[in-house]
Amino acid sequence: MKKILIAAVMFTTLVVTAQNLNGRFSTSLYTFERFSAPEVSELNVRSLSSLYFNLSKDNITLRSRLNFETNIANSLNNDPRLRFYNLYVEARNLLNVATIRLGRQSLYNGVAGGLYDGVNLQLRHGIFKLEGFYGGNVPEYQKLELTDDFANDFILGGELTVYPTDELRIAVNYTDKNFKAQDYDAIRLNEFNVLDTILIQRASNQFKYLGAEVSYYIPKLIEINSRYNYDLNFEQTSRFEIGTRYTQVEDFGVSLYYNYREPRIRYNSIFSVFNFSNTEEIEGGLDYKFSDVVTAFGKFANVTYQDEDSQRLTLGVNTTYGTVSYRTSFGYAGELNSFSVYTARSFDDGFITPSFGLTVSSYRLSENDPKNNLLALLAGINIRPWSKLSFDLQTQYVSNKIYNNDFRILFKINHWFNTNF
Amino acid sequence: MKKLYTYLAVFILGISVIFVTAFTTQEEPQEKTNESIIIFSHSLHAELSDCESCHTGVLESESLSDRLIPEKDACAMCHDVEDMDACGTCHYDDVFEPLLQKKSELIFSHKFHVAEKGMDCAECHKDFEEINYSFESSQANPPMMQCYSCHNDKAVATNECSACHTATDNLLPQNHRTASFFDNHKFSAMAATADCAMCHNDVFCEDCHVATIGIDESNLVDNFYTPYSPHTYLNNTKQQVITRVHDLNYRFLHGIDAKGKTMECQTCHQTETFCAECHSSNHQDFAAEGIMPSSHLQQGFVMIGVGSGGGEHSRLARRDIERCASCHDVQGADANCILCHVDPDGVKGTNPKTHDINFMSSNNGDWHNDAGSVCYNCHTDANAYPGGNMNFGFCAYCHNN
Repeated sequence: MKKILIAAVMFTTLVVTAQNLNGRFSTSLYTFERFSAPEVSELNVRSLSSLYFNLSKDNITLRSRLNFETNIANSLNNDPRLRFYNLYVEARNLLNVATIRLGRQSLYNGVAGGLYDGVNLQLRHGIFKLEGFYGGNVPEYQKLELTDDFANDFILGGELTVYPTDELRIAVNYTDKNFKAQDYDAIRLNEFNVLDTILIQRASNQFKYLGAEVSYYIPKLIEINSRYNYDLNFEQTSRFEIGTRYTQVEDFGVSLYYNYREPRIRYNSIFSVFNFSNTEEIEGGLDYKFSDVVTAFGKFANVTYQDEDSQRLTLGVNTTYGTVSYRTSFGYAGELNSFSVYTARSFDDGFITPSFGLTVSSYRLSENDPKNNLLALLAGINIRPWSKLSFDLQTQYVSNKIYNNDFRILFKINHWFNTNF
Repeated sequence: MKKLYTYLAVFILGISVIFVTAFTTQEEPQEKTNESIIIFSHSLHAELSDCESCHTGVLESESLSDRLIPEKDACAMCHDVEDMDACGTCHYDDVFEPLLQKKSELIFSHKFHVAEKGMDCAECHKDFEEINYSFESSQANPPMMQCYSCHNDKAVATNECSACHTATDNLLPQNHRTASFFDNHKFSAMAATADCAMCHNDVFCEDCHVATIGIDESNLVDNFYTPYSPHTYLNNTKQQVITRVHDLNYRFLHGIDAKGKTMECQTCHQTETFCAECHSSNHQDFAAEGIMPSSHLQQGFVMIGVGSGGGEHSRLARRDIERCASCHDVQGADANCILCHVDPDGVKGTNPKTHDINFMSSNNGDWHNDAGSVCYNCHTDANAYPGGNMNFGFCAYCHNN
């Protein structure tokens, strides 16, 4: 109750003093069928509404993002569900150096990502940027609750970045992410050699990495990006990747990518005690810009395991009004042949935008499996009578080995707002 | 067969639409400029008057389709337009065409920005005191990054695409269309010159990077989850696809990406809670049948006995143990590896091999002081506990050579 009161006071203060409110609200209805047995199905109508808004005063902003979902027909478990993805206060350019975020926020990091409830501090001065973050893991379903075990269920880390020039970036980082496993009962022999039920309370499973990144970019010539991660728990290299892109020839790009990777297994996980191997991947790609409208691309990758290989090939054309692509995989990972086409175009200054998408795939997960076919067909239209308000209607047709004929409809209303007080 | 032909026809039709649309979209030809229509110098006039004295409509203009090129009446304020002998001051012989104004696909109000907010013309339109014609300017119109200095969702002005762009379906930057963009975007976003935030906010990134971390839910009979996409597009197809991150049929193909390491699943998904939800669903749902990999059903998948090598499952585990962990590392229960990989007697060499001999023997690990150590999942002899007798069982593996 105390927390709610404090939050309410803070929120009211912000609303009263805010200079600007902006955000987006969208609500949609989605129909789908759920089969409980062959030929036995129920129609579900699900409502999904999302809201994000920013309340700002000078260099302080309250940022939020939440989602509400429930079934209108055939209630599902845990309905209704309200998810809080963001709820944090951001203060920027404090003393022209610092930006601080406090609350539920995102983390984008080389070795960890997701949401956390905590604090993020960024300091910028000249060519240096220092970032530190700490917080608790977010409870399932993004409930508006804090973890009850910050000591074992947290993320902590930081990164120091140096930009000696606009073309060069060097960074070192540290990430420590802990997950508290649930306690459970298990049968064990006790010291009297008698079977006994004991409570297993395992310490947090951990990811603990040191990392370094170097990026170098010379416009119209070459771009090189590299990343290295060291696993402090297993005391070994976890990952090394390097990607280059050569663009000296006008409208033509050549890219090459290499990746060495140890499996991401948590320390204290049962799997950490087995003997396992790493993978290496190399991928080459080409793209050519025929005009401002049309770009063709292709890439081929080979992944090497301890005793196997798998390959994938992607060919496609990106245009201003859509994409056509073909993807095939073969080798250990499974066989796949997939064609996709996707297009949309606005007419009458954005008043009406029809769209269409189709993906046809044939796949086999391993050589012992039968071949299966998949189809996904999308046809939709967006109507935007006013800049701030638009309506979407989309039909979706899906065919696969479980649902031969699955027809779905999505209707959506989108509204964005911006108000200066 | 008929169905196949139908799909093929629809597919070819789709491709045709894209290609016809793309290749019939004419790139702007080398444009004619006002240089060939009128003799004029901005630099000369800049010394004599302010912008709005000639561009008279600018303070009232709320649309870029308004004609803001000076009319003859504006010129007549200073020039004697009735003097037929002075026509050559501005006009070429026999050229009396209307001046050209570029068409814009942006929504912009000069009235709001200049008249109401007091912005100066030169903040956006640069160098006009040094040039003759507008096309000679280094910045005739402002780059988007300049708009972003105010339109950034931090104060005053919105960053919604459709606040300024009449349509957003064709705004994909060229560098997003390249072969390596997906692999490299994580680095590009960190560059000193990164300008992602002009078009994307955190909500867009979270579509992929938050996804279902920490969520243990599936698409089963009593539990349906779908990502949604509340990013800053209004009339883009992405806005309409409710499962934007993955294709609608991705549940059938995800195994290929997971095995092929095409993507880093753990970027978004916490495998202990996410994968197991379907892969250990105990057939709660008709649609969930067949979730066990076919390899598990083959003869010789598991071979029992010391020296047998364990069969195919041990080869698969050594090759890619992440796949095992994604289904079998279920929170709140012993992983099923220990159905076989268990050492109940504390005698070396009598049980399926789990790790090499002398594994971690030089470490002072957590098994010395933590009864919850992972070691005690498998080492279950009566002496396997912190502080046990060093001469027997599990402890004796290291302490009694």
